[in-house]
Amino acid sequence: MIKVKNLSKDFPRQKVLTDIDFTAKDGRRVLILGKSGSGKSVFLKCILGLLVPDTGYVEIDGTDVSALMAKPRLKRKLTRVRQNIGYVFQGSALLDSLTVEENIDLALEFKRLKKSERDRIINEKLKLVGLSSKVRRKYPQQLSGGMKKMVAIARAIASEPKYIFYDEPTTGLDPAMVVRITKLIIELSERLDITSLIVTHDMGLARRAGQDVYFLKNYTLSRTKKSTRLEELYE
Amino acid sequence: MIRDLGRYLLFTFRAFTGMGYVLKRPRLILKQIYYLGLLSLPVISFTAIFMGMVVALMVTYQLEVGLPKFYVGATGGRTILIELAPVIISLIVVARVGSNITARIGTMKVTEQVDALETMGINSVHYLALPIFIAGTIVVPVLVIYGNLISLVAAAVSAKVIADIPIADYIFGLRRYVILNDVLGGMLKTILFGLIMGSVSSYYGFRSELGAEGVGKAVTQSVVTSAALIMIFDFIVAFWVFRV
Ligand SMILES: Nc1ncnc2c1ncn2[C@@H]1O[C@H](COP(=O)(O)OP(=O)(O)OP(=O)(O)O)[C@@H](O)[C@H]1O
Ligand SMILES: [Mg+2]
Repeated sequence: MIKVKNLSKDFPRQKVLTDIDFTAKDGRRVLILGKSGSGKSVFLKCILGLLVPDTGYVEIDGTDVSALMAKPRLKRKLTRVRQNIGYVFQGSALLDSLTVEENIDLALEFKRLKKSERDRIINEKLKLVGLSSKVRRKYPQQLSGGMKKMVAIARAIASEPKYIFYDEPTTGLDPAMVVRITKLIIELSERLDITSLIVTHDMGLARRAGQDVYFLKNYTLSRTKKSTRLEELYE
Repeated sequence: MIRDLGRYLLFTFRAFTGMGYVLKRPRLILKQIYYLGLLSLPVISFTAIFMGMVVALMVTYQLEVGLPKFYVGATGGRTILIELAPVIISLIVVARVGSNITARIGTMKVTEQVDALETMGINSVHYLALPIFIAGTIVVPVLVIYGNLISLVAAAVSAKVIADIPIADYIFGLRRYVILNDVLGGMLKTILFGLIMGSVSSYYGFRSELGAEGVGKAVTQSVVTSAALIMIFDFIVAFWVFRV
């Protein structure tokens, strides 16, 4: 479970998040919607301490991670919590000095698996997102934007984490891929009981995959009834 | 200023706590050594040749006052080995490689690659910065040895061509007057320069702010700071090792 209480985060000369309360129950697919620039990506990063919140409490799986973020000394513990989390970054964020397979391999590093086992996982995950193993030796610069996104998804799910944060997982993908990724997100959460945080502007994905809905507006996050038409939220 | 220094020292200290992690992955270090060396070899070869030629010119110019010919080898050699090659080559590495490191890490930060490492449970400072520190302390001294040799040869050849100073006299001067202390003193400080280059450039890379403009600013600060620190420590070492 992820619990957030009274979280605030501002940048110099810019208010972004004020007094956010948020809960993601185990195994749920939680949507975080909101207009561009409203602070959705910032919120996801604050949960993991990639950005340190100004104030507030964050708990993941019973661990008070807000206490860990505040002290560099406790970095090792924070790292251990993060190993349970897969993160699909909005801009894919593949390491550009590494090939596709090395990128995915890096996500498996902490598991200390045998080379052959890691190899098998890399192939399996690439297949799952619909990429052929031909891309394994390619560098991110040699891939299209959509392909990078798929590799990023493969990397995020490689270690079979308990939580996956998807920051716009379907932007830049063709319609067939959008359907495939939408199904994958639902299937992963059901088969492996993964808790998913999904930030998206894609109403198709939102309607199909979303179970709990939060909307970010005026610096705060509010829970929305499932019956609300999602488009209305933006008006 | 003082706070920046504190942050920099803390960053460097934290990077070193990842020694165990990095030593288990020697490929990370080898990759950086290859990369630092490859980037700087051409420009260093070029600089070293001209440095040797200029030194030969300047010293032969001073021979007019009646100094013997082997003086070119003695003074020219010492100038190159103690001071010119270590400092100029380190500064060139800062300009060529240090700027590149800052830009590379800064870009990784801006494009969320550093965040990606962190979420994969990898300490980004251990993974990205420490291999560069280590590679810097190895590569810079090696490049300086290489630059020394090239400069000394270039100086010998141009002294012969320009002022008709026999190569034998040049070598005699070198062997007679250049002592081990000169070579070692010149070399030892380059280990320090390599560490300064590696740590300052990674530090500014990690500190660069959002956007391409932020990265550009970080690169400038990185180069200026590295260069200033190298000059300061050069003076300290000179004061310490070469005071008569
Ligand atoms: N590191 C940062 N430094 C300063 N300002 C930032 C930083 N990151 C984000 N911001 C600002 O915070 C606000 C929220 O950004 P964020 O990226 O979270 O928006 P978003 O909701 O994810 O938008 P989008 O849907 O376009 O991805 C923006 O106005 C942005 O300019
Ligand atoms: Mg965003």
